[in-house]
Amino acid sequence: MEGNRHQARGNSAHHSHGDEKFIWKYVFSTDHKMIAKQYLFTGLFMALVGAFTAYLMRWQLAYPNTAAPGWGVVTADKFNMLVTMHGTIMVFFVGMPVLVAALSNFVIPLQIGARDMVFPRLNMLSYWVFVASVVCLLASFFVPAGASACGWTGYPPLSASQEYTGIFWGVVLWILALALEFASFTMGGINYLATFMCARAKGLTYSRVPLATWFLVGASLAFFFSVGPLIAGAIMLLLDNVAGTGFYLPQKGGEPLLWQHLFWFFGHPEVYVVFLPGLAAVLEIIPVFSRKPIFGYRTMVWSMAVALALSYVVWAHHMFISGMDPRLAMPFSITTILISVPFAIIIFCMLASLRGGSIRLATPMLWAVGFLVTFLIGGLTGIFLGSAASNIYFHGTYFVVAHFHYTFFPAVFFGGFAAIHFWFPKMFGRMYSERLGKIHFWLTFVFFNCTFWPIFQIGSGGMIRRIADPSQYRILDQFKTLNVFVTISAFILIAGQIVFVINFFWSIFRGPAAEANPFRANTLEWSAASPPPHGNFTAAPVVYRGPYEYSLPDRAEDFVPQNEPPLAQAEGTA
Amino acid sequence: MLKNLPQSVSTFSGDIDGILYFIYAIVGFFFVATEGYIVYSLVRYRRKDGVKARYETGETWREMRWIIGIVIVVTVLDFVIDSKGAGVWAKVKENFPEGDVRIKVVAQQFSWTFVYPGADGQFDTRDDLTVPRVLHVPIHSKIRLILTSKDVIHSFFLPEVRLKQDILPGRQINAWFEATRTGTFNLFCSELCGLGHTKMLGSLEVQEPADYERWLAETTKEQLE
Amino acid sequence: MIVQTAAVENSGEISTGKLGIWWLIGSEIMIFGGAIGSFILLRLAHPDWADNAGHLSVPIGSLNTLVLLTSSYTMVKAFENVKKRDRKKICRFLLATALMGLVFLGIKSFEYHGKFSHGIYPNTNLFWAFYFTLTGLHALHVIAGITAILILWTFGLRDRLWPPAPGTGTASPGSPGPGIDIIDISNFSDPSIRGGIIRPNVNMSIPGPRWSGGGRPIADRIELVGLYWHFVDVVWIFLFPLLYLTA
Ligand code: HEM
Ligand SMILES: [Cu+2]
Ligand SMILES: [Cu+2]
Repeated sequence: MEGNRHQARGNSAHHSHGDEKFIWKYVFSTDHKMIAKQYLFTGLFMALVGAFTAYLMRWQLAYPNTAAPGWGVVTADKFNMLVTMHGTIMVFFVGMPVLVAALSNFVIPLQIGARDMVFPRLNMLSYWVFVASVVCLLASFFVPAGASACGWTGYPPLSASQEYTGIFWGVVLWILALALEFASFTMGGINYLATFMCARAKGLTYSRVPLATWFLVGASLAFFFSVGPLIAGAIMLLLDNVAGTGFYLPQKGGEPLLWQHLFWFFGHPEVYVVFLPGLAAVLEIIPVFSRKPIFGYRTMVWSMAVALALSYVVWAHHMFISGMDPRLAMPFSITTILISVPFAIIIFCMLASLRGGSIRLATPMLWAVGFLVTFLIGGLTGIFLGSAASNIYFHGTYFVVAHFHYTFFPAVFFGGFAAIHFWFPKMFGRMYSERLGKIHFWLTFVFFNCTFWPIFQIGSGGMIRRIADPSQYRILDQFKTLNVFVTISAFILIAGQIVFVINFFWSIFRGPAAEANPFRANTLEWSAASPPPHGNFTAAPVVYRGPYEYSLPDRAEDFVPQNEPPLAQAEGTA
Repeated sequence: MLKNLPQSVSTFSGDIDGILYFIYAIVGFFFVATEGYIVYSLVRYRRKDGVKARYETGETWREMRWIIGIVIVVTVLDFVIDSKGAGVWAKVKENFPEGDVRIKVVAQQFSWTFVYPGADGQFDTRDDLTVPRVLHVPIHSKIRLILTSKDVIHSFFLPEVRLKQDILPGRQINAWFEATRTGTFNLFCSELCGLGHTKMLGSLEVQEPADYERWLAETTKEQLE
Repeated sequence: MIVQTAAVENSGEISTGKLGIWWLIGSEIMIFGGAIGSFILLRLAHPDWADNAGHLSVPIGSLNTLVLLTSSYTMVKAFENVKKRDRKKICRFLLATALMGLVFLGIKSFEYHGKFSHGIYPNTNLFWAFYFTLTGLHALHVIAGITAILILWTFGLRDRLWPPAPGTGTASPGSPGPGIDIIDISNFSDPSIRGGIIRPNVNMSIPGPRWSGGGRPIADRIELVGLYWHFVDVVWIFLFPLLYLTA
């Protein structure tokens, strides 16, 4: 569809001077779609770094104190650093850019029928601040004493004073990287929310907004109202490190638990910040590939709202045994368990959306179903951790590691790949390869489970988190072969992503041209060209109905785009 | 998933395991039911030529009734889990029995030290007994632990006892347990505390009262010399 | 071909700029909320901090409060004159506001200087750590506010607060290319499309008289900066009693 590309230029009306300069088109672009791609590529690049850290850790856990190919022996100091960087990168530098930023940027304006974000320059700025943040984080590997080794949660006093770890610059850069990231996503959040509120197409009332947009907006809201206190906390942590204050140092009158409260007040909503966009993609895909309205649209939106509200009052479930007043455990246990109710509703509604459908397991749908299947395990095992009593045993063990990988990985990668494949035609104007897509899915699905399922067992056997050398622990001898199995699975899991890389780049340049609406979906983004030109729509879309009108009984076609005029009116005007 | 739990050697470890198995049963049921349902629907409702999907929006109470039913069950089960757990939590973390034996635990980067109060039953007196690494306790008596840290946060974890408690510097945090089996058990630090975290191991030695007294007497004598 | 985006019926009520500022203020509230909340919690646990608070001069603090409150008043006056389109007065009040902000900073640094000369630094103890962190963070916001106000002031001086020919919009001269019409929807007469939202993007690089105000007059931004400035003021209203009056 070369024609489309050129048309794109013609349509970008405000570029009066003909050809855009490369730098404005690809680097300092204000086009939301280009910014989405920038975030996507940056995030995928960071995923490589994150996967490399995972590889090194897994090597050390299976073959302790032997040289990992391509690096050398992973000593204890390096291991702590790798754990910290892996967690930080995967959550903040893969999950956030790929899911929150790339998806929100790409999907929200298109789905609501807007030309662009309402603050395009702010949008560009937010991306470049994010790049600065990435640079900060990557630079921290190369400063004296290396990157931070305090865990991705950065609990002080360990992280508050150089005297405990010998690391100064690493910690300072880690805090700065987070600060820049938070600034970037606050700017992004303002943009998504304002765009959502102000730029919806005519007729697109709140009850007709596609669920993907709703859930992406929900993610931004969750981020927006939880990150502030942590920013304050991070300033204090920075000052403890550089100015000798003692906000978190008991010997100076400070309070280490303060950080944990601030961190987890952010941390729990943050889990949803990463999870909701994954869910957003899946919710959009399920109706399209089962040709059926999503079950309980309103119920889902309200459930999400309730879950968001509750997510601000559950944070102390990460702190049951932290030394806070034990009487707080029960209230937080109850809120935690209550939050499972809205999510149960959402999950069951998704299951009901399959019932009576006409399901085609194309690649996006495979990822969506894979998301459901795996995330369910994450959600169910969370109950072990949310109950204060069983938390006493499981807290800080590999059971937790398995649990949060069963939530994060489905959200970031199953949700992420679902989204990438589903919107691939829209993003790049070409189709991905179904065959490679399926191979990639099955490789990932099988080896993801082989990697993380055994970890539940190792965890309940008493293996604790963040240990650099399992051979020190007699209790773990029985898990030696299992650990090797996990490690090999993880290697295959990581290597399997090569299939994706091939599919992705091959299809971008060589894939067959995509039509505007290859999946025969209803929402507005599919009424724009593939890829949409700068400015997205040739005429302002007008919306006449909800987003999920599939398989209406009295219609031959099994879908009705949101912007298709009602029949009567169409005849009237004709 | 739970078959690898370490042996259980304290008065409350059985209770905690009970909760684990109880949750396991519930969660296991939902796991099988939902995953089974997903697989079933994918097969049953796969695309067939000429078969149109059902138009069903789930916006009416009638269509929602199944979901509402299941969600009520989920909510009730949630509360059952929590109320069962509440008792166990209170037993382990809130209602501390008067200890028969009081021991102060000193955590620091990267070692454990245990302080016994000596004959006068008071800490910080001359007859305090300081023992590195191994925590000796008599069986069937209530052990009161006073957890302290000299530097960063550590976490006191006795897997076989099912006891875990973070230790905050600048504070004294209480914990307790009562062992029901003699033998040598594990003690881990389960909070990342720095470079030597992985080697911050200790052990728990549960002894018959007579053995314990003998050990206590001997160590006291050694330390006095 | 028509390039335009319609906004929904209900979205013309509040301009995007204002919405953006409110979201910004919302996020700032969370930041200060976290910092102030932490302070309050620790303050309650440490009655002895009252001794430290005693070292702060209430008269100076009150003076500063007064200065800041007055500056909020002048900011309101500047905004009032936007409606009257009185450029001279707008400039005068903007300048007054910025100057008072500077006075506030001057007094603040005088206080800091006094503390330093008595050997009191952020690392002296936790009270002073909080004092310097909270007031320092606030001062940064004051600086940001002053900068924004001064920028608007220079716009005022150069008579750039309103588009050259009021009412004609911006898309007049130099049509961007053959076959393409741009409809600036701020002037779109269809009543169902109110508030036209995407203007900044539409107009940004439209050739014509150098004009960077997007679809709305720069003068409208006085209200936005004003909102921000009031917020900065309100933060101080919280900080002052918490720090100075708890001796
Ligand atoms: C490629 C697949 C992955 C593998 C093989 C892997 C492996 C690991 C390993 C070995 C650890 C260290 C556990 C420990 O010693 O405590 C870890 C920790 C962690 N992982 Fe992953 N991981 C993967 C993907 C992800 C993803 C996608 C995310 C989230 C988006 C993630 C988030 C985390 C976090 C937050 C930690 C905790 C870090 C800490 O303890 O400070 N991981 N992972
Ligand atoms: Cu949480
Ligand atoms: Cu440790």
